[in-house]
Amino acid sequence: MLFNSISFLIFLPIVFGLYWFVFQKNLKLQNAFLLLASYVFYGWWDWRFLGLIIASSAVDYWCGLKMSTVDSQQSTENSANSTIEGPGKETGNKNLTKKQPWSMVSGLWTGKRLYLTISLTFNLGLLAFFKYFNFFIDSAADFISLLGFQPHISTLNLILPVGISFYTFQTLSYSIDVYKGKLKPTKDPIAFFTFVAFFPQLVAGPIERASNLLPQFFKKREFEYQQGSDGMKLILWGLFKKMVIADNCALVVNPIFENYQTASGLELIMGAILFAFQIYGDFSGYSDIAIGVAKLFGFDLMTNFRTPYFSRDIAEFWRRWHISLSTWFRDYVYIPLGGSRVTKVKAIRNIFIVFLVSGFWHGANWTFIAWGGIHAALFIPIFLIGKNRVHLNEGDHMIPSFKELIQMISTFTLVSVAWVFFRANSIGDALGYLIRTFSNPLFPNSFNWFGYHLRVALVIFLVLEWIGRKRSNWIEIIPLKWYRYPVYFLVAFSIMYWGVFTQKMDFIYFQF
Amino acid sequence: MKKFLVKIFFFCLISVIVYPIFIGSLGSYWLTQRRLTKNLIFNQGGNSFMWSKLHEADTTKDIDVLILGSSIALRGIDTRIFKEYGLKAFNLGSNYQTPLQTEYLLNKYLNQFSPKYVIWEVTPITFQNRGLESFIDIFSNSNIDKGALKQSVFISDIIAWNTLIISLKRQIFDEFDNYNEREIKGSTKYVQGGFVESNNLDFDDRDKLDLYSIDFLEYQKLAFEKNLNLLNQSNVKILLVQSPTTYEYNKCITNWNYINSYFESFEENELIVDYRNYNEIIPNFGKDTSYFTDKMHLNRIGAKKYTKFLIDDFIETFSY
Repeated sequence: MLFNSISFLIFLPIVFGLYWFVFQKNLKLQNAFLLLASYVFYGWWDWRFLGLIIASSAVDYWCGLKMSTVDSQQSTENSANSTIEGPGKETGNKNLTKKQPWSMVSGLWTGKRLYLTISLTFNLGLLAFFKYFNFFIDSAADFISLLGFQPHISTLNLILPVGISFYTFQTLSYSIDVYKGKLKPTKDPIAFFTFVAFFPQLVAGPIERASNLLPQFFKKREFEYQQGSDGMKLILWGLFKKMVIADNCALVVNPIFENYQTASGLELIMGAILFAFQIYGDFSGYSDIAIGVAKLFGFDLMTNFRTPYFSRDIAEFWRRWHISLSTWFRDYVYIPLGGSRVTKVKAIRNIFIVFLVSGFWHGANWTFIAWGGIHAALFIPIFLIGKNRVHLNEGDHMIPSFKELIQMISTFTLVSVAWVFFRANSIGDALGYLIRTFSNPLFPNSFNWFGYHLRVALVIFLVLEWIGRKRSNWIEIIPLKWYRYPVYFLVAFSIMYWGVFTQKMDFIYFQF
Repeated sequence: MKKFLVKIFFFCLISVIVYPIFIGSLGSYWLTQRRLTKNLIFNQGGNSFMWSKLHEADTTKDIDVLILGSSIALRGIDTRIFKEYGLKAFNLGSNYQTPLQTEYLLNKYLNQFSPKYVIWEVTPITFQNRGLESFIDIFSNSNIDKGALKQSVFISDIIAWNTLIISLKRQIFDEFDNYNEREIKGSTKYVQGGFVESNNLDFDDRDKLDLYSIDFLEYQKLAFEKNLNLLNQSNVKILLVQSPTTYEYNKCITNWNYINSYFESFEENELIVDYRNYNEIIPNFGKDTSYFTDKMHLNRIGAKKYTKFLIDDFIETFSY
């Protein structure tokens, strides 16, 4: 079910009404209803893949409980030991999780580590099978061909389950946090299954941490006017980003990328810039709607974007782009690898690993790995000169200085070049696109600027984004004065008037 | 919660009231500027000369042959040739006319025209189309009535609703009558009797075509069968035709068997229907691009030649 579809327009008010008016008295029933609604939401796309979410939830729920059992057993043993060894020695949970290094292979099949291994193997196995199986087979076949042999390998006709990368990462965060002792495992299966399948963020994030979202399922929820109102505003602005900005950009971008061989340099530049806006409008629009819908049900999800195209360097960009994923990789990959508190060489290795894995997370294609690699290559020089934490806040001034403007434009340019790899069908296409940007004639025979409405919409969009750059959204900072209503009407009307309704436009991140 | 729901309700209510005013005022202005009109298409006149056609149709009565269908009929069946045979014909073809729009036009004009025969160009792609293009073509040039509202519900597209708003506004403020359509636009010319003559004799080869199969939409099939019944009840004899298109275009459609058998199935029941696929009857026609302006449409020379062939066949079929 897409957020910008008629089916969701009918689904949301029904679920909202039943949630608040029928099931509010009983928290468990309310959670159970939310779970049912989430499964309907997901099953609308393909009910057969519900089994995967249920299996993933069940495995992690069970692993969590088992880790807790092991914990309590070990605490008992340790307290018995402490009686013998005497007081003063740190034992128990913290000792187990913090002092044992990740890389320790021995003991993989014992204690808590066993259940973490089961959780990791199951979830990453699902991902590997459904998302990467064909990629590995094809790559192996290509490699064998390169060696001069004739490979006889057949791939499987696998359908990629929507949102699999998002919900497996979400459940993994739970297992890892329980393992590390940062989180107590839940004994309420309904709450846990709902946490995994919570429909607003199920298929394209934000990837929530169990420590943030799970406790909200145990709290009695009361409808708050301000929260509901904020939710509606976010939904409205998210729809604008998706239907006016992203989808209109897509109408220009798609033909340019499909025919890049014959396009002029100017068109190729335009295609790369507009794709940057397309993917931002598409994904941050989805996140806004997800956060907004969650608010309608009394939940607060984490911010996923903070005006990333106003970043002054790549490091700042990554603090503002897809925050839920970049912080996931920081907490569960980068830091366990040693982060930056290791030798320079190891730190560079860690950065490369995180960016490459992050690229690979997006899709089973070398283009995504290249995209990750480019970002690593852009990030590492700033890291080496120690300037990766220079721009930690947005600044108070209304107009950027000339220096800042240049920094923003150059960061945006680099990001846009990297997006070409993200958007292209193959590395060859991406390189061809970039080479032709400079080798093809700069001006086409008849240059057709993209629609006037899109140009106007982009200018309005950029101005509003700039105004709201200190928050996740400008629409949240409109004063509660009478004139906010005409603003909402204008946003709603511009969606009706400029939005793309006729073509079927999926959210880009659904494929991940 | 009550405050929230009340505000949402009023927001929706005011939107429903204010949006038409927004489209009627700002949208109308942007239309004149030809800017910012993404979801607002108002095609007064247009390249199908719909304004002239519908105005002529309003005053036309008692004809022999009514021609229906898409732009292939509009530009391919020359009503002047019928005159040479002593037949009074009117071409109600319009761009991308789907059975839904044909239903609207038949309901509006059938009694007034009281034709004895209908030649209906049943272009396959119009049966898999919702009919937005044709809707805009018709209702940018016609007053809004119940039929128009019914069609807009079927099409369910913001562009269709915006067209209706502008059309309604023009109707209310009598702006429709200020329009005068030119008889010649570029290389096309409106000919009395509803035919549009294409005088561009250079074949346009630019469209790249891919192989595709056509699946008819259920509601278009229903509308088509309803139209046949309506014509049958009025004792009108019907000739369903596939007018010539280029050989290259025809070979892109991969399921001609399905298409032909669907239309041939109507020959077997009580309706007085015959079906002709002229791409199969005169296969060489589509191979000669000098008869075409593009891959689907005949130019004036092709239209003249094809119409003569069509009338001869028509006379023989119905022993006229």
